[in-house]
Amino acid sequence: MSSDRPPFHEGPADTGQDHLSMDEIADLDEGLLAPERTSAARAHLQRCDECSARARALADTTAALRGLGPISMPTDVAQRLETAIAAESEAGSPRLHAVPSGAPEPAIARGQATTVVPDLGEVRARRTGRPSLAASAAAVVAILAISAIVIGHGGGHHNPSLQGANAPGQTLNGAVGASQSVRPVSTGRTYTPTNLASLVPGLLEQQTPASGGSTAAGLPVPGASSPDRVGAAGAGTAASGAGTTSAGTGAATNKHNGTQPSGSAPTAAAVPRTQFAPLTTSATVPSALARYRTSGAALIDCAQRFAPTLGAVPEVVDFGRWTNKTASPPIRHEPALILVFADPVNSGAVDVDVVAAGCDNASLLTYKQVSVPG
Amino acid sequence: MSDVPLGDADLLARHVDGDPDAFAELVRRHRDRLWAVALRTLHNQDDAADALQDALLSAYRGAAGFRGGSAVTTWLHRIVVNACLDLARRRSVRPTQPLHDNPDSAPTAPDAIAGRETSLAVTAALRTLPAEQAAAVVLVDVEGFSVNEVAEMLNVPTGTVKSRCARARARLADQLRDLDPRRSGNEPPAQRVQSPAQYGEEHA
Repeated sequence: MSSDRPPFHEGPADTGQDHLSMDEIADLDEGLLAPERTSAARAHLQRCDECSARARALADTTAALRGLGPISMPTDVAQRLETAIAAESEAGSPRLHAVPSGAPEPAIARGQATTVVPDLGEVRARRTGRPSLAASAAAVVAILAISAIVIGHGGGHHNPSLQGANAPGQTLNGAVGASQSVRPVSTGRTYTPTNLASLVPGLLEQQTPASGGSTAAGLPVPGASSPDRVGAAGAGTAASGAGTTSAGTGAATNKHNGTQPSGSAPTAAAVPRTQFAPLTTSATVPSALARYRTSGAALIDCAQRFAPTLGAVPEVVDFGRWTNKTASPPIRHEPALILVFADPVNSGAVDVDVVAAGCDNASLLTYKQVSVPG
Repeated sequence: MSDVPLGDADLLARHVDGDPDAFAELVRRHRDRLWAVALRTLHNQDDAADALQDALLSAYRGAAGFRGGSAVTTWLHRIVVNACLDLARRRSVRPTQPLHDNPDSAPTAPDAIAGRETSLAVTAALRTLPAEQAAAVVLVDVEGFSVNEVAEMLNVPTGTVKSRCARARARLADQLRDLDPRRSGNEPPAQRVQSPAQYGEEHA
């Protein structure tokens, strides 16, 4: 992040030598100035009272920062957090408590958890308020209706009972019909901070309507043949432990779908998820991401956490990898979902979230707004 | 009390093993620090509470993924600060405008800048920082994490953390200096910070 301030020139007795701005002094302290500038700045500080006073002010500021203590959390906030955690605890967390380590994770786990407490996408959506550009009119209506509920309660949207009414599953139920679809692709590409902006526009162009592509017919998607049943099929597959279908053919999927005991995935069965289009390439999906591949519900639930607006579904999702050599520690070829959302404000841009397989708040590897042509 | 208090890692392990109270205890232990980070990054209580709730529930669900490579507090801070920045980014939160754009607000009395007042003024001045800068300087200077730790938390290069901290300190120092007659001489304040009372903050 660069300074937005012009070079500092201050004081009536300026002898022609540039004084040091506060920014430069701060950079000097952090060792960020170029070597030749560093020595010049040190020399100047030695003889300039004005700049050394500025340096003392900076040191005082840093000392004051170090002296700041914790802030007592207000009682109402503490109470609210306790309530939210207790609700989470009562609901049970299948991830933590019901799943033996190493076992396939039930794809509905996140869906159950997020019915208790609104997720990040909803928090964002309460404020940004505009749907995906691809959203149907029904989605707009649903979002407005939910906004009205939230506003109507005077900001008391953290009341657990209201959260139930505002749960993502129900939102999806109303907002995402068969008219919307997520188009997953798997390019096998590794994205980096530098190539992201150039690769994403091509990703959008590459994805074409499933009905028009000949490649689509050749790669049936497990659990995706029946748009209205995608969530149920995906969740059922994972929950029953048959988590090895990620690269399988879709031939048996419909049968599997039809014979799935309804009791094993009650939540997902009750909540039709978005349509799930076939992959457009045959590149291998990293195994860490396979559950998002086999379960439309898992993918949508993940995407919802990062959606810029309530109910927005990504324009396209790539099952790719992420490399950031400048991260500490460096990240190399980490399996990652590349979630591409229409920007809710700027129609000439998309919001790209690169998300690690864990898909929680700590999984956001990067976020970037990318301009797209047209 | 004869029981030795459990360590953070023990509490987290108990939570993962199914102890229904362990996570809440962990939160109680660290909530004031986490609250301070959220409030100082997002500048208002509603946003801080929202981000903190998201972060803590995420931590609750993701606790099994904690690898023990860092302290539990570092892990919690990482989740909290990223939830805060995420919220700020999505909302394009603008930092509070310095007071010269808002002449109706009363400035802090210049001669009150000393000792405890200085820390209150710093706290108030933090409101004017962009969230990324506020987060970096709060984590490094206030919370005492190393630049390397913060770079890892924020998933940015160490140079970026240093740069954000430098920008933040410079901005804060300029504002505090403008409040301090001993340093600013006869110059009229170019910028003034909002009254700390408006920040709704009390030091514990």
